[in-house]
Amino acid sequence: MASITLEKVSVSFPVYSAATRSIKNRLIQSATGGQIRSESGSNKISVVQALQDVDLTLRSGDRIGLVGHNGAGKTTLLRVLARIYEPNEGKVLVEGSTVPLFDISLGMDPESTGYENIILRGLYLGLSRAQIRARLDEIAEFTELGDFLNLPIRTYSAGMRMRLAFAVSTAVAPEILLLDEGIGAGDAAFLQKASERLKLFTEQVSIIVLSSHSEALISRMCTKALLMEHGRVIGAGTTKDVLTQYRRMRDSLTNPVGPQASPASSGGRKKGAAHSSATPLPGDNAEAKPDWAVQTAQLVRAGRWEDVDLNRLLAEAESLGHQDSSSIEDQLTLLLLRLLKWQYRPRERSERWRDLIDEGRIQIERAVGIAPGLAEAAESHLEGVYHKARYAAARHTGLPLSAFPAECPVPLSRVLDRAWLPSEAGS
Amino acid sequence: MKWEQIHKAFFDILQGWRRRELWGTLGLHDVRQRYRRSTLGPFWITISMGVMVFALGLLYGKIFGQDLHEYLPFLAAGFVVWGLISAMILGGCNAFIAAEGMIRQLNAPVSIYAYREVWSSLIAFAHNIWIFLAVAWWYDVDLGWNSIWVVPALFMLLVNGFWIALFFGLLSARFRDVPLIIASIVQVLFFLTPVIWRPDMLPDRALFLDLNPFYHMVEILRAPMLGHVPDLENWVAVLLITVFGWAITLFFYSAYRWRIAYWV
Repeated sequence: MASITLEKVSVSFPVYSAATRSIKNRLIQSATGGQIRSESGSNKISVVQALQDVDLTLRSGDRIGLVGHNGAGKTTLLRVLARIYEPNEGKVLVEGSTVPLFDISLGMDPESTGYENIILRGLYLGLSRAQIRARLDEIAEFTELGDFLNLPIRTYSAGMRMRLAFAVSTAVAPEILLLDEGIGAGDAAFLQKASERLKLFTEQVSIIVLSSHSEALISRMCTKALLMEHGRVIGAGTTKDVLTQYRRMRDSLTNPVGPQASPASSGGRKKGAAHSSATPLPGDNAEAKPDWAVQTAQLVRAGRWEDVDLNRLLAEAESLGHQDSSSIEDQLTLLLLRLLKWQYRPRERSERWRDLIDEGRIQIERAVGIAPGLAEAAESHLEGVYHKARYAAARHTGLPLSAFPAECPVPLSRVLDRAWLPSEAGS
Repeated sequence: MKWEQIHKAFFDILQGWRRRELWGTLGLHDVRQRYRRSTLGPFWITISMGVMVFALGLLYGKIFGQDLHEYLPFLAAGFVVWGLISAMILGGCNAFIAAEGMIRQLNAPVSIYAYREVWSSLIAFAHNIWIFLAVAWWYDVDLGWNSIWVVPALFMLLVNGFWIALFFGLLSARFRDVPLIIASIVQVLFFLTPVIWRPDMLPDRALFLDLNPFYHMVEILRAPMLGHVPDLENWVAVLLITVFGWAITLFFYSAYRWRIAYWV
């Protein structure tokens, strides 16, 4: 029987700058006593409290969704459950074989063949060579890659790699599955087949913990949910209740423009507090959207970016992307943002991310194909659109705005060129 | 420190050994990766070692006025052993830093990254040893029963390489200057350790020879390779280094192992 128990778990980690990581500074520091520390703030090691007093009990059959803003502690919690992070305080008890699937393409070796990579991925998942060999035919068949499996996977397209990674990752069901943003899987034709397999796969798993920004995914896959903020669990219950609470919390943070917003946005509120400060009726949400849009527009015009809920702005932009009415500007903004994050967060690069970039390009190409006039419009709006993306990227990556080029560094044709990706920042 | 932490550290090392199929594959890939798409592949390791041994052997043989019949096997053995030791140290420093992405995504014991470095150093050693064997065959080195000492000596070096990877890997993950410091120290020690010169070339056995741990480590493996009886003094020194090194490593590894995921 699989089970997970967390008792009063707290995780904090020091963030070392290049300065504090060097021995020289360490020696100078100890020689001069604590004075440097107190005099200059830059020499202090800042500590991030990523999780605080988290209690959690999960039993077989539980499907838990984690929701919350970026930086709320969802990924840290997943890493604690995977036993990657050992908490500073509290107890963690995990019974059952656990597989974290944070990036299903992790550790694929581009120079090795498809078959070699199947074995490699299987070993990562904790299978033995014999176990993988026993399933090799089945996995190979599912990928539909045929003779390509004898070629090094650097010759594969992003979609083909995804198929391979997906097929291996879902070959053997663990008792506990930890997912960050679900499992993506290639093109539409494959998607159908993949979703059947995914369903079969997840049915065999005792406990699933899924962290996602997609409410649709959470409500489809999970029966229970946890709402997190500032490293604390501030709400727990059925998926529906928690998602409602999450929406209210978001709205209560963004609706009041001005001084009223400050008490609600200060962190560490308890469950009850979240309810009391929330918008009273769920029905209000429908009206809340245009209000919010008007206010956001005002804030953006006034240049008050710090008051804008960029997460929601992006969420809205993304949802627009799925509607036919989406404007080319929104799509271009999103594409530029993705490219900027690709460039400035090389660590988080993944096949999924690449697929998203390509998807954005295809959508724009398609729109331009229908209405060729849009190409000119996009060209002339590129700078404005780039500015939006730049602000969003600064916020997402936590880098200062000045880290990004002030003007779009490449022409539109480059942005839409499917063969092109920005290289790592600074190189 | 609590017993629980020490227990966990041991458990981590034990569990790491159980995942040997994983680190075995990773280590193999590491070696192959470096020579990928070259025609000769990893045999470039063998070739570069061969070129080095012959070039330096002829040069220093002349400079030191040595008989090549004696000197070249000595040099080849020394180079091959030194290659193993330095690869384990330099690779060990980067054991955790290089595996940064994996450590934060994979729920495997972190000791597997230390095993992986030791293993890939051993694979490179297995490529280099052919140079020595060729030289030994050419000069007809007398390999008698003494050569059996190669087995325990190699084992001892790997055991030491493993604590070095754990300890310096840990230290390097926290202080990023450490790999650079160690790299320059290893470079200097290459010249201070009798690899290209013979211990008996020193007028009187200087103290720094006996105090140099690398001399003992090289000697326990090189002596049986050349068919000599290993020196008791060298073995005692290496055993002391092993016990001492493991004691320190276990202390630090128990206390800070769990921090590695946060540091990388």
